[in-house]
Formats: sequence, structure tokens, C-alpha cells
Amino acid sequence: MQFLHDPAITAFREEVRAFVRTELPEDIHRKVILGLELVKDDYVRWQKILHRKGWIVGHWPDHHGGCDWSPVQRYIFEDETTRAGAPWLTPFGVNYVGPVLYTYGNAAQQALHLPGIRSTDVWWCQGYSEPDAGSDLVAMTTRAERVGDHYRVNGRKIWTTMAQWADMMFCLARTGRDGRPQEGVSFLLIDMHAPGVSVRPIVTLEHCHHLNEVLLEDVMVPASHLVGEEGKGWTYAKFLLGNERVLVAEMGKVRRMLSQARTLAASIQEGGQCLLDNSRFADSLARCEIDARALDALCLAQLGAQQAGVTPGAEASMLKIRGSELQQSISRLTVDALARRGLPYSTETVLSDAPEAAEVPAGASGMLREYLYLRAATIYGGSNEIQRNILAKSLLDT
Amino acid sequence: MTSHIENFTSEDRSLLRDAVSRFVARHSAFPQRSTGGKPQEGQSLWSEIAELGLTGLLVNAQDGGTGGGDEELALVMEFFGHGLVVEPFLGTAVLGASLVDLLANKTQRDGWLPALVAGDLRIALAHFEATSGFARNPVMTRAETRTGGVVLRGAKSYVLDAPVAGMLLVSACELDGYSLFAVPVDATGVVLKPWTTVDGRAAADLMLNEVHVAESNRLGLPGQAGDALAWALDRATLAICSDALGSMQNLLAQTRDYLQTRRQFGQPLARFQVLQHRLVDMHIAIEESRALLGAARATLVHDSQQRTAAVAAAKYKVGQSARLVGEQSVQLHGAMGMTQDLPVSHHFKRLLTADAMFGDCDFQLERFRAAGGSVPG
Repeated sequence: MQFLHDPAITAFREEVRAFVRTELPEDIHRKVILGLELVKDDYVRWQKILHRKGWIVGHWPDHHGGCDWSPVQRYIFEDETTRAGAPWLTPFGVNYVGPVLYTYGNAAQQALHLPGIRSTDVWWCQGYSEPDAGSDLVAMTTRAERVGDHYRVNGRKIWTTMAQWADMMFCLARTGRDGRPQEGVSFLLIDMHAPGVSVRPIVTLEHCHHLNEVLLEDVMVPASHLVGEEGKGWTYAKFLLGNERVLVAEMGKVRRMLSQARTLAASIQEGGQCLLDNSRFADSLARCEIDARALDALCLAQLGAQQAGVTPGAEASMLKIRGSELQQSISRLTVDALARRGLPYSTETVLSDAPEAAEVPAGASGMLREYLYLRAATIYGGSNEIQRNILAKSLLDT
Repeated sequence: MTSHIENFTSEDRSLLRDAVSRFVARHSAFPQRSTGGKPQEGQSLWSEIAELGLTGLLVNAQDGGTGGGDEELALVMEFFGHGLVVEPFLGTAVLGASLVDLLANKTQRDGWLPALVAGDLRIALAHFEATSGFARNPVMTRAETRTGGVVLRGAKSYVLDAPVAGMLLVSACELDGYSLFAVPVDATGVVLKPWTTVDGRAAADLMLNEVHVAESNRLGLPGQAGDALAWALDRATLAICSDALGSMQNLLAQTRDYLQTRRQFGQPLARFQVLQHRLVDMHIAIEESRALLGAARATLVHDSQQRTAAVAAAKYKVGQSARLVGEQSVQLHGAMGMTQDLPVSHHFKRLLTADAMFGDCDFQLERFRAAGGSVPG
């Protein structure tokens, strides 16, 4: 991993670390560390701080306002900000639709949408999944019919993260009826405030509202909001999904969670002994530490290959599988520690930053919330069953 | 300790089964359950549980109870787990009734049991402490005899059912052993910090600041309540295992149905072999748990060495299975499994709590090993 010891890379890591230390607002940092629910303004404030530095889209080309970061720089940026307790960088604008627009969009679309994405003045959401099209995304049935210089869109999108805050949605809709199911799909940009768009909350098991169902009833979308060519949406969607690569491992989050698990275990007693001195618990923690080292090494190996110009294939699926399972294992350890105090869970604590009701370490409800929420990590972004199918195909079909 | 075991005929048991199953179906407790934050009100459900004779399930017929034993308890708990019942049954009808039966004198029995059976007296056992973790030998709370009674000092944590209880059974160190005291929840010096478990049960942490109790509130002899406490905790451990079994059974049925109805890639999910095998592993885990649990129940009549290993083995196996079945049920339901709207997520949280109650898998493994557990011949 020679590239890591490149002085320029080391200096970049130091610069990011110092920036987060001085610029991340303390109240936001505290919420992230305690696992509390962030509100829209928390995300926006942090993303605007990054925007002022030019780093929110550091991985974009410089002629679109980015810094032309290499994959290694991008990895280090995500790693350092996340482990230090910065909020999740909501990807819908800067990682998903932004790159689609600067790659496939026309100049007018770029001029209209890219500034709002960079500044987070416009909040985006992703309209992909449907009630009958989850893992089997291509089974989607949302229809867009051309009517004059508009598309009339009808359908239902589901599991739409943060749609309740969104101003715009990038959406897959069916414009053609012929050919393979992939062929009739188009990539549309929909104004969430347009007539016919309604958002219904879906509350998840940790009592939080980040998922939604989005109903599209005779929504009139200007034809100028079609990205690229009609019927080529599937290509753009695949481009978008392949965009995150090594970031799916969420290595920075893994580091943060491990350090939190260790701190928690040090504060919990069992039979007069600290939980870190309980050999069964300590072994489980050590197993997670080794898995984390392996994950990090795997990420770096893949980054090295990318630097060397190897075209990435299915191996990102490996990182998704291992990363999500490791996050679940670590959060399970924190729950095992908290189980000694009876697993108290207070929505007041998590949603409004009230003190814990029970005599438990600070952040207990937040850690439990994270555990519950992370059950989704092996489901979203292509379930781990689907990721294993992708890997099996690449192993067996070549 | 085992005098009621043969009191129930198979006819009695089938009547009990019908009554409990109707009760659970009637209230099909979800989705009011585990709403997060607020302890359950539940007074009306509790009186219904009492009317069915369930509060007094383990109380002898001569004391006005139903006269059931551990088989009947297992049956009731399984239904309660299946239906997500969160009423304070474990504290009152299992731990409370068992400890009163084992330790209380005639005056105490006559005072408490009729009220317990009628559903008017709810009990919570305050035994575990913040520094004890899962370990069963807390040392911080102490009893000191004074003229005119006893003074209790210390703190208890994770007192299940305390916020809805009228009477606490508080364990305290005295004369190199444990003593047990009945303490009214509103006694001077008792400070309750109520909270809710992740699966919607009421619990509390407890401060005992110079709590004065009369000698007549003592259950059993000074320093001699340890064996009864250990037995009652083992009984409650197996009860929560049965609760988990009911919950797992429910999840297996839901997941099986979902795999058969949900279609992706042009066929039902149930046609994918990898998912079939996952479902089969869940099924095996449940059957294995049920069998081992039955074997452990039989050892409640034995002395502690054999009993400890058997109960630890059962709780370990149920904990492992609960984790597998809970996590995989959510996974196989996909995003649907994450929603509040389906019972799946509620059972997931119930199993999380069941695994934690009275010691998780690691703890049971250690307990089994320390008890010299091996395969009985």
C-alpha cells in the first residue's frame, strides 16, 4: 500500500483531520457520537461547511466545482470525517445524481441543478424501489407517458430515504413497453413540490422516520427533466450504483463504532469486574477488530488496483457484504454490553436529546437505535443475498 | 417445591390452552405493543389475566390459586410470547408467586396470595445490581437489624415490572447470605427511576436510602433466602425461554408465509434454495430449543448442580436460536421486516430482550461450564 505513505497523501489526511477537528460543530458531533436522530438542518449545516471548503464535491472534476480527488483521497476523506463523528454525507445529490448529471446531462440541466447540489440548497431523494420491485428492481412499473412537452408520471416508489425533506427526486420510470425490461426505463428529475406528488412516512423498528412511500399521481414533469436519452435510464442507474465502490465498506464508521464499543465496555461492570476484563466479551471484541483490519486491508488492496488502472468488477460486493456484517457485529457487541442493564430504549432520548431514563451510560438509547437501524445494512443498497449472487456470477460465468 | 406438578389433568391443560389462546387472539396485542417510551397501562388486560386464573397459575389450590406447575407455565408463556403480551406476569405470577410460596409464613401467605390471585397485588423482584451485570450474586445492597425492624441500604438495577408493582421483593446481603424483604413500592426511602425496555416492558432502577421495614416483612430466615432465589430465577429463566419459543414460532410462520407470497424475479422467494435453507435452519433451531427446554424443565425438581447446567444449556440454546430466528426473519422480509407496521419487527425486539434477560449466551456458556455440564448419560 505504498500510495498511503506518499507524503502528499499523508498531508491530505492531516489536513482533513485538522479541518474536522476545528470545523465540525460540537452539537452535531455530539448527536452523531450519541447515536441521536439528526434533523435536516444538522446535515445541511455540515454540508455547507464542507461546501465552503470545496470538499463536499471533492471527488467531482474541477470544471464542475470539484477538486479532482483520486479514489484514494476520496477514501481518506470519508474515513477521516466519519471516524471523527461527522454526519453521514447524504449521497443522493453529491454522489448519485450529481455525477449522472455531469456525465449524461445537458448543459442546461447542469447549470440548473449542479449549484443546488453543491450547496445543499436543494435536497434530493432517490426514486428507485417500488412495492413489487425491490431486489428485482427492473420489475418496476412506474409509467411516464409523453404528453406534449411533458411526461405524465404515475406510480408508487417506496423505501425512499429522507423524501420528507426532499425538493427533487431522481426517478426511474417506464417510457417504453417493448424489448427487454431494462430497455424502456428513463431517468427523470421530479419536483417533489409538484401537484400529484405525495409523501407518506414509514416508521421503522427503532421508531424513527427516515423512510417513505412516494405516490406519483398524474405528475406533469417537463420533458427538459429527462436526463440523457429516453429509454437509457437503466444504463445511468447502473453507472450511479457503481459509483461508490470502496466507500460501501464504510470503514470510517467501523472505526468509530469499535472505539465506542470499547469505551462502553470499559464503563460496564459484571460481578465487580469491568466488562473488558471478561474474556468472552474481550474475545468477541478482538474478533471484530481483526475483521475490521481485514476490511481495511481489502479496501486498500482494491484502491491500489484502481490506482494501477485495473477496471473494477464485482469485488465491491465483497466490501458491501463484509462491511455491513461487521457493522452489525460491532453494534451487537454494544447491545450485549447494554443488556446487562436491561436494554432500556427511550424515543425521547433518541429523538429530542432528553437524558436517558435509566441508570445507563450516556448514549445507551442511541447505540440501541443504531443496532436496530443497522439490521437494514444487509438489506439496503442491494441485499447481501443479491451481492452474493453478483459475486457468484462473476466467479462462475468467466 | 414441586407439590403442584401432578395437579393438572390433561383435560385441565387443554382448557387452559383454549382459554389462553382465546385471550391472546382477542387482544392480538400488536401493534399497541412496544410503542416506545411509555410503560404500558394495561390495568384492564391484567384483570382479564386474573379472571382467567393466570395470576394464580402457580399458586396452590388450597391458597385459592389454579395449582398449575411448570408445564402449564411453559404453555402460558409460549402463548404470551406468540401474542407479544407485556403485562407484568413474570414479576408477579412467576417470581413473586414462587418466592412467596417457598419462603413466606402463614400470615404472609394469607395476606398476599389472595390479593395476588385476584390481580390486586403486583410484585417485582429487585435482585440484580448495576455492578453485578448478569451475575446472580450482587453485593451492594445490605440489610441491618435495628430495634423494631430492619434497615435496607443500596441500589438495584433492571427491576422488571417495578413501575406497575405495588410490592417489591428486595434481596439484601445479611449474615453471609441473602435475605428477602417485602417492601411497599411507596415506602420512605425507595426511589424509583422507571424506564421501558426496547420491547415495551416496564422496568426501573431503584435506590434504597435507609428503607425501614418491619421484621414481619421478612420472607424466610435471615441470610437463608439464597436457595429459593436461585430456584425462582431458574424457573423464570425457563419461563422467558418459553416466551421466546412462542415468539420464534410466530416469526417462522410469518416468514414462511412471506416467502411463499412475495414474488421477485418471476417466482415466489420460497423457490430460491438459499432462502429455503435459511428457513430450514430457523426451523431446526426452534425444534432443538423446544426439546432442550423440555429437558431442562424436568430438572427443576432436582437439586442445584444438575439443574444449573440444564437451565444454562437451555437458555444458551434458546438465546442462539432467538438471535438467528429474529435476525433472519427481518432479513428475509427485506425492508418490510424493518417497519413498525409488521409484527416481525416487534418480535425481533422481544427476542432481543429475551436473550438478554437472566443472562445472555456468553453468560450461560460460562455458567454451564462452571456447573461441570456435560452430556448426561
